[in-house]
Amino acid sequence: MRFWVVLLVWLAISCNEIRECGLSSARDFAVVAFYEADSTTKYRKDSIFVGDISNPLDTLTPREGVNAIILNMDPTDTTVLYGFELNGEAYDLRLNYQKSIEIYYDECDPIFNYSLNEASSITFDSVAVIVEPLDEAVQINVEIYF
Amino acid sequence: MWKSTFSIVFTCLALTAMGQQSNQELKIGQPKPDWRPSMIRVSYDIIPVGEAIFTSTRSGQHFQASVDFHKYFFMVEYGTQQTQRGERFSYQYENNGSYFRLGPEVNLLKNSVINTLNFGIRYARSTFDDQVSFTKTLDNGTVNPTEIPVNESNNGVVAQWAELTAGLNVNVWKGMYMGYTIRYKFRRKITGNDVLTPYDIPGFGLHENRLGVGFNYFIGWAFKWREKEPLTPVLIK
Repeated sequence: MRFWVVLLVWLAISCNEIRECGLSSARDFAVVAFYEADSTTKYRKDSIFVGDISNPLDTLTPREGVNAIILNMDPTDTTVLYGFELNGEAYDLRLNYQKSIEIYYDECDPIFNYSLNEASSITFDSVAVIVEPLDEAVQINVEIYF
Repeated sequence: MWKSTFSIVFTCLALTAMGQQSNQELKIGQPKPDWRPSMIRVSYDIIPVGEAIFTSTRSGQHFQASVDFHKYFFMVEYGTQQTQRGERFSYQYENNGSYFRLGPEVNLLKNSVINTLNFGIRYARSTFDDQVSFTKTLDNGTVNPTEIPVNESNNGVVAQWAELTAGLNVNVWKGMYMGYTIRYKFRRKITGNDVLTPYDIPGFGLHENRLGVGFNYFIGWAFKWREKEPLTPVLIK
């Protein structure tokens, strides 16, 4: 009898899902990586000097020697236009995305879930959305070739 | 000669008739079902009252009505639910809606028209509005993070699901009944929500759960307009 009581209590505890605010894997930003355009093999650029990245919500300080950057999504819109200064030249990148608001757990702040629909640019040679959901499990969302 | 012949024929006919009579007595048929309704039972769920007293997040009302047809019942349920969440935290979520359920039940207690042990199925549909408001902080790498007020809402969201139910109803005094229903909710579909993903679905539970289990405790009254005879076996002629 005691065995079954212990077993039932253990099952009740083990079946109780752990809910912590930090366990949500949703991200508010896309990871954008840079690649060499004029190459027969896929070649990741590094040591890029990012002079300026700007959009209405984002103004980052200049950084040197980077091969990827993070770009925040705009929670008030479904598109965001970024301006870049990379190695002294000006570029642009437009990201279209879907968003949803979810209360992951009622003791946590609501979170945004983003999913990229499209990436486009006038100035870069080529841009491509590799992985649509903005999630902790994803390393790179957008590849840029220039 | 005629007299003896008549006696033999009469004796044969009498024996045949006796044999038929004894066969009639041996045949026992199924009781004839009484499909005419005899009552409407109206019940009130006291679980939402308890939730409203002991918790600050949820309140509502839930009614149930049933009509009997032989050993079957047709059930109709209607309820309302209001939910407020996040007051102790940094957001406000409000959900307000109503729901109904329809479906048959069968009484598994044999020859009982008063107390019932029911099993049934339901089609359930919920319509609700919800809204959330909070401040989103954008960590954009600068010293002063950007703070954006967010207000999103859904209007006229529809959720549908099916239920398997089991319950017990006991006649406690005159027309008064008490009993409980346990529900297993499945095949949930939701349409009409916009950017905001609902947290609560009135009548179902939390949105994140695709399956649900529910418990209701009803107190009700049966309004009878005729007495239903207990089912007894009948002789077939």
